[in-house]
Amino acid sequence: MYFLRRALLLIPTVIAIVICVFLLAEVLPGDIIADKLQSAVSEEGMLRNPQAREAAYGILAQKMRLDLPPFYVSIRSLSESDTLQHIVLPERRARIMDYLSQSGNMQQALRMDSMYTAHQPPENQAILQRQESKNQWRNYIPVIKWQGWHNRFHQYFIGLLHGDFGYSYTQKRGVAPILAEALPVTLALNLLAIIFGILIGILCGLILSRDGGAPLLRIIIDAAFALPSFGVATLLLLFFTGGTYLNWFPISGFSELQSEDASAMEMLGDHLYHLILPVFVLAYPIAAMIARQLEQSIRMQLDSDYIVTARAKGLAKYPILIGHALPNALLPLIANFSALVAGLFSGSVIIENIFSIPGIGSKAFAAARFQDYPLVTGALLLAALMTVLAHFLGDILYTRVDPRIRFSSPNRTGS
Amino acid sequence: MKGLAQKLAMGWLIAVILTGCFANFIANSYPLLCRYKSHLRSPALESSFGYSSIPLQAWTSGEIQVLMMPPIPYSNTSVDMLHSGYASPLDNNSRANGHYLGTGSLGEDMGAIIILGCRYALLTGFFATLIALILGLIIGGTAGFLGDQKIQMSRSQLILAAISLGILWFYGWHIPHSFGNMPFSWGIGFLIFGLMYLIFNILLSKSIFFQKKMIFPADLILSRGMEFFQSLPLMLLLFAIISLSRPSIYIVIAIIGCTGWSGIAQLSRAEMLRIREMSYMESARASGLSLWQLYFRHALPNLLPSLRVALIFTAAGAILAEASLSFLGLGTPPELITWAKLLSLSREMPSAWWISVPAGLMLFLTVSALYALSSGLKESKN
Repeated sequence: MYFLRRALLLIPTVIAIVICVFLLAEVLPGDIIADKLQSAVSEEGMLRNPQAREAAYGILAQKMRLDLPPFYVSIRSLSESDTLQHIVLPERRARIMDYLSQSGNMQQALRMDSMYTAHQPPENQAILQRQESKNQWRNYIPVIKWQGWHNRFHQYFIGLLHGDFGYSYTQKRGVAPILAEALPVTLALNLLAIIFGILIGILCGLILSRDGGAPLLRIIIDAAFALPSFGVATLLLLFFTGGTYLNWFPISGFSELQSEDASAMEMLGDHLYHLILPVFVLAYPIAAMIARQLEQSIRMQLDSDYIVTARAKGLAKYPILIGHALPNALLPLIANFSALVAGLFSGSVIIENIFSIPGIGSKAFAAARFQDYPLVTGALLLAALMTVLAHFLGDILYTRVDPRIRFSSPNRTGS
Repeated sequence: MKGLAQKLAMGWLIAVILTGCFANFIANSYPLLCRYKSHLRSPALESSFGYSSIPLQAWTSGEIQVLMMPPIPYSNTSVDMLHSGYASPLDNNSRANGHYLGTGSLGEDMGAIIILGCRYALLTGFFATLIALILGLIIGGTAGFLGDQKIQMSRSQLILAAISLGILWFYGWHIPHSFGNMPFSWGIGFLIFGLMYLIFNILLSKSIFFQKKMIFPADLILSRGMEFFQSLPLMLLLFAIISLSRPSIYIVIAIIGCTGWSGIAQLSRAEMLRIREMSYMESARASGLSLWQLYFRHALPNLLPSLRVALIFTAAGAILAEASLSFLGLGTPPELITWAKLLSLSREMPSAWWISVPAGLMLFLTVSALYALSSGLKESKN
């Protein structure tokens, strides 16, 4: 029952994420088509005259479905008509809206615009302007209109359901296959890092929670907490790769072997060899965090009654610590594990870039530099969905391990 | 032992703050004091306000008598041709010329860059945290203070609120932005809002259907929103925003602040839930204070001290986030060199350790001082 309710809660979250990502691309400034045309001009040296430019702009805009209304419902003024949607060139649209604000009549504004593009002298325009009636009040009347299913958001959402994440400008192919190639790499890197981080963290937490602790380990863990991982990665690259100082590890990439002339085991080994440094860099902050929290949690457990009973029973120190205190102390940490998965998608972005690992992070970074926003937003969407999934699995796991926790969140107190 | 660490951390942070504030007087290619046409001038002071009373040609004509140079006679953008190509700080010649931390490939002075990097770190830490604090208080503090029961709206008020959002969008944004010249848009919007207000509050006040009270679950909605926001991967979100707009350092700081509020929001929500139940709140409520007075006079002053630890954490996180972005070469414009940018520059010349090590140390020490301070605060609170 809990499982079902929690799973149903996923649906609005996913829809909200899709809407957010869609809005992000809609709202943010930056004319991508103009940028693309700019680069096309510099490549081919054409599109000097405005007609050719507008035609090229129109083709690109149609590809990006910019001639469709953005959402199911629109609030617009009475004077704006649907023809405006098909005028995609920003300069021309701004001009028409300017005429429209003077006359309040769409037909007239379009006529004025065609006179402008036909290079009629301004006197003729002024005559036309005087002849027509002025209906400026029409601009101030809002009209709520149902735009039908044929709109940009609907197309985007349906595309997503079919696995179509858009088209990447820089790589000249669909976003979905690019992400599908990158996802296993990122997943392997993050899973290894999480597993090692948690294991080392638990070990360090146990050592720290002994009586007296270990002062040196504590200092190392405190320092690891504040060391930015990209700095550590740079230092490791500097000292352990490339041959300036030591040449123990490969400098970057995911594999140097070609898949044709290597066996599966060799490929796996080579991948693991390339992942040693990045996994270490990703794992140590996790280990430091887990160690600290586990230590606090174990210390709290050691004061409780069942530990006293176990001691009175004559159990030795380590069976009490590992057999009794640890399982209970791990409980509050489970909530953190799903947060870890979420955080790693952000953290691994930087590490992937430093080590040139072809995961989602480095793809998104390369796309961000070249304003390839379908790829960036596709990666954002994928990572957000994975994070939601991770939180979902974490919650399910949490209730499995500790059935006392139910649907309401634990910190909601009182009325 | 613990006290010593706190004191060291505090001292370091004060040093960084002072260095950031007075960076122009420590590292500047202009003199601190000089004599020009028998007047005493301070070009370093003038340049920090962005103007200069001395004409450019005066510097080459020899009319200026330099009285006092800053300790590092270079600014972070100045290029020293004589010591270009990675001059080591161990080299006596370059040290005698004021390059105490060596130079980069073009002869940029590393000392000056480190000193001015304090300023950028300071700006990021302070303003991003300020933005995060404001957003966190608005979202988390309100959620905790109001709870699910405080706001009761009648149906007519609910409908009015929805309509006024539409009015705000249409007359406040759509008309002024899409049309060229529409002078009365805001005025007409207010007029229509007033009309709607009259209709809903006076004419419908007799109607039972419209006056039925409904509970607006502020806490539920806001905390769902917070959970949702936390599930967005921040670094990729920053990528997406930055790839679609070309920001300056101020916009980067604003974006970091706008994405880093969730920790503060969660803490202030939890604290507000606690404060709300305190007896002084009850007596304030009993004495008939309005909701605003309760919030600003009683709840907020008691909330702020408990946010100190989270604020310091947010500042450290903001500095690290800005550093990650700079390291990747995103965000801040190329001529503005921060500590993290030095780390990424050092990858071009691995043997020039004087580029990476001081910058990395500054970053590490500043962030760990912030963490040490926050853990000290946490312990003193317990």
